[in-house]
Amino acid sequence: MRLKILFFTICYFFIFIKIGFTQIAVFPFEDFSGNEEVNIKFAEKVASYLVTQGIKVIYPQEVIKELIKLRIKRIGVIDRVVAREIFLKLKAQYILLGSIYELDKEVPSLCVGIRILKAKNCKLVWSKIFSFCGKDYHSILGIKKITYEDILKKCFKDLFAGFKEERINVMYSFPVLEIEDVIFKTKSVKPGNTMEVALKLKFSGPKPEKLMLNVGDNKLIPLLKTGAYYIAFWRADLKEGKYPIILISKWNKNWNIQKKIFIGSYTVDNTPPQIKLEFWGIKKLANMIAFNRYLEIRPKILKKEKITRWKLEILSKKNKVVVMEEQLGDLPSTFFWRGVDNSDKPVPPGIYKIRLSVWDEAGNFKVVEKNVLVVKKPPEIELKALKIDNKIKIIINVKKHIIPIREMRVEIWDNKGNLIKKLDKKELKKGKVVLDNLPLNLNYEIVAIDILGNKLFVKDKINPQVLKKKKKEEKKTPKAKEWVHEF
Amino acid sequence: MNFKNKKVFHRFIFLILLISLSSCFRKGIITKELTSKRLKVCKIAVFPFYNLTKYEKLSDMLVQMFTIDMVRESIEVVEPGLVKNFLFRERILNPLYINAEILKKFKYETGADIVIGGQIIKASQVGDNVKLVLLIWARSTSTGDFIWYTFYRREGEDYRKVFHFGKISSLSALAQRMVEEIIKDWKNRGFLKCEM
Repeated sequence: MRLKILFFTICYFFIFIKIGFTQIAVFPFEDFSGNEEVNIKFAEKVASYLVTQGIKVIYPQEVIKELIKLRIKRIGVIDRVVAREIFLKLKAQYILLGSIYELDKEVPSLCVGIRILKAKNCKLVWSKIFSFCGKDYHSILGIKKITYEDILKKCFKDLFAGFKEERINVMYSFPVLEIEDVIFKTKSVKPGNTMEVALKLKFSGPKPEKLMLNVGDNKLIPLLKTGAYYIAFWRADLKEGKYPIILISKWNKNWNIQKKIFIGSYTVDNTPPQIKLEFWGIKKLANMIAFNRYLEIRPKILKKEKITRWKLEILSKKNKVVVMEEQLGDLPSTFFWRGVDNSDKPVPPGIYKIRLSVWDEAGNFKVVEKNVLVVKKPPEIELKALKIDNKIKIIINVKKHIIPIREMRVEIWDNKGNLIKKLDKKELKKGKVVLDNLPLNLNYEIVAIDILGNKLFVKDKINPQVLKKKKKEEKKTPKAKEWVHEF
Repeated sequence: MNFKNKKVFHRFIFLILLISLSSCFRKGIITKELTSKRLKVCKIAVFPFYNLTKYEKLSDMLVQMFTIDMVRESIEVVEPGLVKNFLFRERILNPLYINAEILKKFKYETGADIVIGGQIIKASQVGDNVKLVLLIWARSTSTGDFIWYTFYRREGEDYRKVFHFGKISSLSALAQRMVEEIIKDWKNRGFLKCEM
């Protein structure tokens, strides 16, 4: 076994000793100056300058061909896999990435930044920035004007001043694995439920012989290749808690290496979300909360948890749904109910049940309920006047109200504004009040306010009804109970 | 010189000196430490900046500038490409709202001790006058805590030394100068120390 490793090491040494010369792959420059997104010409100029300095370069045109093969969408953003591929295929030990921040030949102004990476491990080893604006340059007595070419010369000199090639003693380069995408079916599950993870991986060099996930408590799950993704599924632990998921890749043949990458964590959750309802805009009664205009419902999650679905129902006393709202996603911070049903009609006064159901990511669900009294109607007081022999008889009927009445009075005035009769809350509390022998031409005023603020206010003339003798009721022929054929 | 009074002449000279020197007084960097604990900073990553200005590419530019300047200061920096790939994979659109767990994952993958991020609050270029306002923060990748923040506001005019000398008239040059000064300030405060 040892001899085998030695043999392969020697082989790789001889392979890579060939590419041991320092070469720099000059990537096309990113252009932030607004002219173009990619600037190849400038990169070529940089490459030419490096050649004059005795450095071996791979020109951007050649690099582009390789980048197309590697399907690189954005120049300036490279990962370990791309760096290693450049290292192996173009035999470049360094990668030069550049960005142009400002380029104006007329002003002239130039701002360029370069970074040099070790292709082997994608490590930044050199970087410099050059910035110069013609407007900021002031020659003595203003005799000499600076040109773009002058700035360019200065730029190259400044950018690579002090740059030394580092001879890389690389005998072999380890294979590289990069995660391109991670998809969790869910990040929170009930105990024993199935967890599923899909990974999109990118390789440079030989693929690992073993690819698996450590999903906590040293439980190893193999990854199965399905299309472009590697998929793993397993039964979640029975114990509640948070479990890390680590990708383990093993290259046994020739390399004998193992790499671990933490890809995320999942939670085993068997506890329903802890939720409480808070109400605003209400009046607290003895054993009930009541409102007349609007009700503000504020759900409060006691233990911070992600809510994935919620449902709010308002039910009548007969458990008939008056309002229903259901949605996926986060729970709103506030709900408003103006005492209307789904068709926007005010609901009759009475007790309504507010029921809020919430689901967490694992599917645990919790219901909270609260009864609320809705009274949108003002108290009702009926006034009936009868004319009997040039006198008026008034019957005041106070109808039953669902909540206590705070203030209530009936006043009767004559035409001249003299108060004839005043009935207060005490007298009206009896329910029915009869006033006899009152003169004609009277006005009245009724005021009644309940504890929620629903107000009844009526001010009018009294129009008495003249009593008439009741007509004799006509005898109605009773309906036949059975079907008669003669019609 | 035919000044009636010598005093007037002296006052005139004094005034000119005062005006020319006034441009030398600089506005300072506001840096505040948010934890008393000093962290070992051996490797840094620069996250994209949240850009509140109309200059779309300013964030990319600043990321590159911070990276370049830190490498120059011999600090190990995570290649911006690796940072971008990570954020893309984790579907993080705004690195301002990144949680502690994801930062831990980032540390596991890249080995970065802290991440630098922030906001570009204001940027303007009207003729030769340039202005830039930055708010930069540093977060620990192991705890997710904010360690320090820096607020820095600068104009091209602030660098004017005497007459028109020293003035900066391009946004990129101003940004580069500001980044240099911010990193210098952090170094002076001992934030970027790998050995404890």
